[in-house]
Amino acid sequence: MALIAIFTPLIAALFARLLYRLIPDRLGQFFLSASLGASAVLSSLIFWDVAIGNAPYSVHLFNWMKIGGTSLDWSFRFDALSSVMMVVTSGSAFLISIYALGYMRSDPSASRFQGFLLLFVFGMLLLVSADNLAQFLFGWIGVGIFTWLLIGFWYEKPSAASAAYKTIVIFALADVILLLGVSSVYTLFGSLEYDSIFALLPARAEDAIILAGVEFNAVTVLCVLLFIGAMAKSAQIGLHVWLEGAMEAPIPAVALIASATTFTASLFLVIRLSPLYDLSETALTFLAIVGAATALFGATMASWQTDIKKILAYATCSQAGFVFMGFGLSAYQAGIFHLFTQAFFQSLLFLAAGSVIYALSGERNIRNMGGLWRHIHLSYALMVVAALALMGIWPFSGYWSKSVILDLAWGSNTLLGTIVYGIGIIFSFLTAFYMARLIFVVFHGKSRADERVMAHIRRPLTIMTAPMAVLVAGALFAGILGQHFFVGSEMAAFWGEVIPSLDTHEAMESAADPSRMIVLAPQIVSGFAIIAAFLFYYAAPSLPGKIVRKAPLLARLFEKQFYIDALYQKALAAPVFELGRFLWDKGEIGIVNGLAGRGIASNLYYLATKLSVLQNMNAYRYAFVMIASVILCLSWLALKVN
Amino acid sequence: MESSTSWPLLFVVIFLPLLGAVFVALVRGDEEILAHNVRNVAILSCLCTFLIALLIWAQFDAGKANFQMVENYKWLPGFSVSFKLGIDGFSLFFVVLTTFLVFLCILWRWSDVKNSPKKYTIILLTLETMVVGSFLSIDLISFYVFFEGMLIPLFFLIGMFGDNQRSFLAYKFFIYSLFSSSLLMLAIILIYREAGTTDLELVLSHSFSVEMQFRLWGLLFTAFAVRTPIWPLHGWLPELNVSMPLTGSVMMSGVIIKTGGYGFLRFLLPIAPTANQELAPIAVGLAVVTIFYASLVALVQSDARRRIAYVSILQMGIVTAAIFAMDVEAMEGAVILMLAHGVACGALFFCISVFDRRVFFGETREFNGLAKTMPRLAIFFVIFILAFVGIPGTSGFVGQFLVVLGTFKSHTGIALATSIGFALGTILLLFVFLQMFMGKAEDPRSGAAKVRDIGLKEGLILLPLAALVLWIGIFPSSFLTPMHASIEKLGIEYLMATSVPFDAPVREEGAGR
Repeated sequence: MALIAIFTPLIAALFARLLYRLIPDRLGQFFLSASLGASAVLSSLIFWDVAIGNAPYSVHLFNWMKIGGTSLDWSFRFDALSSVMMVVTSGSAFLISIYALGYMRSDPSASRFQGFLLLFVFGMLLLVSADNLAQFLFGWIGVGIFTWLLIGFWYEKPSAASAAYKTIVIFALADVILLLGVSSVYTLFGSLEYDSIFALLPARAEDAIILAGVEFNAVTVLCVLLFIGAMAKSAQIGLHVWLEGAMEAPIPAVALIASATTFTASLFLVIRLSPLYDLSETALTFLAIVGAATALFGATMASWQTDIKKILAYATCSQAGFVFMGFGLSAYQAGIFHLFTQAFFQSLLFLAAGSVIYALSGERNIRNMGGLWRHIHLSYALMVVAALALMGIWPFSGYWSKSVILDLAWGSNTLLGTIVYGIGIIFSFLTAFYMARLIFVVFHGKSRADERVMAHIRRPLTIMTAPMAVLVAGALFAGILGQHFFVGSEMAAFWGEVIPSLDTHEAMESAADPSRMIVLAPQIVSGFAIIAAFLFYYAAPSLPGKIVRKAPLLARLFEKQFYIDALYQKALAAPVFELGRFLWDKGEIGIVNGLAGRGIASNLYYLATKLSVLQNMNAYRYAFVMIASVILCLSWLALKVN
Repeated sequence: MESSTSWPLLFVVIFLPLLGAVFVALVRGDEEILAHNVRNVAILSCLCTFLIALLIWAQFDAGKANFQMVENYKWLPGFSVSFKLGIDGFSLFFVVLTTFLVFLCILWRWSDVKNSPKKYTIILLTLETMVVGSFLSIDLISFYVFFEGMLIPLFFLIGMFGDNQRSFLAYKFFIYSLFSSSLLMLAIILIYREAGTTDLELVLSHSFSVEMQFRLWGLLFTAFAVRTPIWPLHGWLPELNVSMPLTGSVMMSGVIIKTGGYGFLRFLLPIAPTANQELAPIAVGLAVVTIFYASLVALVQSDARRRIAYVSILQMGIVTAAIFAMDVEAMEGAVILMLAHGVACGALFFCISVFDRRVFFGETREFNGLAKTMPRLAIFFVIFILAFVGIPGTSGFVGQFLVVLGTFKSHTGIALATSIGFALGTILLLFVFLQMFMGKAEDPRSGAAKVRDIGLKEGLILLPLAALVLWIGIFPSSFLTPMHASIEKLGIEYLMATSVPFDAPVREEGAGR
């Protein structure tokens, strides 16, 4: 049954591709969506058995390859972690695909879209259920490839095509680091299976490796390598440059990328290997630093952007950064809990934004919106709920997962913890600010849209609102319902041995109790942020423009996204191209062809024509020369030996 | 004749295509009947050859590390030179791959060759004999004859069917080949003088003196480096790939350049282990230079064929680095990688030759937005690109994974270089896809809007290649197991040979004279 849940999307997609001529297009799309539903139902059953019933198991298929003494199998592992991820992935993919049935209805290649979606989900399911790192890598790179396919879905648009290419370039480079990380795991533990890695952990914890003459702790090195490899997929700072381009994908695909697949894949990697990460303080600190930088960077960018999709994109990368920051404090349970809750409100945000774009016939710039709440009440309500959940306002589901991390940061009583808490507060402020800004600018105030657009304003179809209704229920209740299992009293039993239990258990317990000042602080800060956004974008809409004019330098920095992308272009891409061109002009055409080819060859050729041996350049003569030389050599050899 | 099987399978698999070529040469008749008959004869002989190759695979004993199915024919009895054939884990899959690719080439109706299907078929079949022969010969002289003999049909192919640059290219190719073959000849003469035989089994059991090993290493490495090709001896390949008829490019990238890597594994490492211990860093260094040089040059190529050719050179750099890392896993990875590259690169050239059949083929940058008009070709193209660059689930990944994992422990630098090489390959080749298949087919000159998608027949040729790519990727054991024993034997013998102190070479006095 477990395998059916994983392979249904793949088989359905192949089936639909093969029979696309025989079945009506629309029926095919429903079939594809339904197969995701089947996968979601089966995943939930697995979740019930494995996580609630506490009976993890694994399924071995057959041998993949033998490496040295160890053998790598195709095998699947079903435990609390993988079953939660399976439910999240297939569940939200199912809802998103239903939404896409409506959203993509007028697109002639809607069934191709559904097919890509299914393959994407298959890659992700393979990734989360893998029993060893090789199979994980299989799913991982598969997810990267399908992200590429989905971003380039509207391949006729040059911007989409090049954005997709940029994405795969970043992914490919990051995968080098990941592959080296996996190789170092293999070198250190002699195996790639999770169980054997974890079994050997205590013995290898103190091993050292020497890199460039300096001795490092081996576990630290491989944790850092794996994390850098993972950074690209969750658009952590430095490797985030694909993110904006990714918004070329249709919005259901973006929703899936952000909420349940590409972004979560990299968070999942750290959680899956949490026993490993937990051994290395250095690696965890590194995670916290990168996470904090991304959280602030993403939040700043989200406050600056005017494209509704890009705002949400940066929000997603900022949220992922926040979770990594939590991992830095070993808050793995809180991290997966946040993954679980954000799957609801993150996809809801994108889908609701999609319905706004749908209403305005493709308009994405929030400056051309405004006052929309009168026209699309339902999208407005959904957006507000999702935004409140993202801000982490009590009692929406985001609150439960976020406050655990912040609480833990304060409770850990370390310098790192305090810093994380401080950054978390700033992060909360910024999050609340940009979400409130989005709501005010898009839905309130005067309408700034084109008259023609406003005349054709469309309400979302029922088939689009239905999945959003399910998601809104999740955004409202997933946190409060799940907290006991994920981070609360049932935590130890629920996770079993999958995630290391921490001494900080009490801090997590107390997170459920919102009476303390520490827990209230983010709420208060968020409240201030909402008020600030209200002032800036509702009460006095001219204010932001004035402030920007006061600080042109800062504005320019934001406009250029801190020049990171430009730096890569100027400092990396351009010189590499220059070098390539130089080698081609001078090396290939000049030296290699000139000396060995055109030089010698043309001189000899000249000589030969003079001697009129090879006058008509025909190949028969070469053949003759070759055979003659062989025979000559052979006879010489024969004579010599005698 | 001493043969372990009742049928001389190896002899048959080598010379059946040549027999087919003879029959093709005898076919007469007016143009239409001629073409029809030539085609039938060619298909029949290639199919039989391929089936025999499969039979050899079926009879192959994966447990044995030594040569199997050995067939020994007296040739020059006075000089202990014989025509000796044998197969082991190294050569098995190259033979299967060669016969498979030639079969597909013959099926792929050579429409890129405007005149004379007869000559073309004869050339292709002769080429098959030569390539298979060089993989199966276990006597140095007969190996040399086949190894250099495959240049003859190649000259014809370029000279008769190449584009307007062909005479110059044929000449250039000739220079490179002459260089490599004279070095190889010299090496064989040296081996014969010291070991007194050209029988490979006897040569391999002979321990060469250290000075001799250094000499042989230099000669053999350079000779095979031209074929592989390794920087700076690669100049002949890209231009040739561009101007050859595309089925020729399929053969060239698919199998012919693999004889270089095969030569390293079969001759260089077992014959000169002690020298290799000292000189391997040179080989690895050149291989790493090849990886980066080829990727940089590939970056500025606008023509897909030339770009693919440079990425092939890049991959051969990876293969060479993996071979000279002297690690059993990495060597298995290198062999799988050569096979994977043969399938994927051959398949990519098949895909590109589709354009040759549809429209006049200019540079590929004249095409774009083909995904719209040719969706089926786009799917195949993506699959083969992904296989080429080692995406999991395809053949390339197995090779990549084994190479990187195998070299990481002892040669982290090689692991780093090879894994970067794979990433660069991905970046370089997906750009081809971006260029040709994505975007809008705007330019009316390109004719992309009118190009017909691949039909059933073409699909049926690409489908087995795609299936093979996935098969190697998902069940690599069926390929790794048969080659394992031979590679492990090479690794162990190498270790034994090199564990002897450097200044006390083992030398059996007078063994050769």
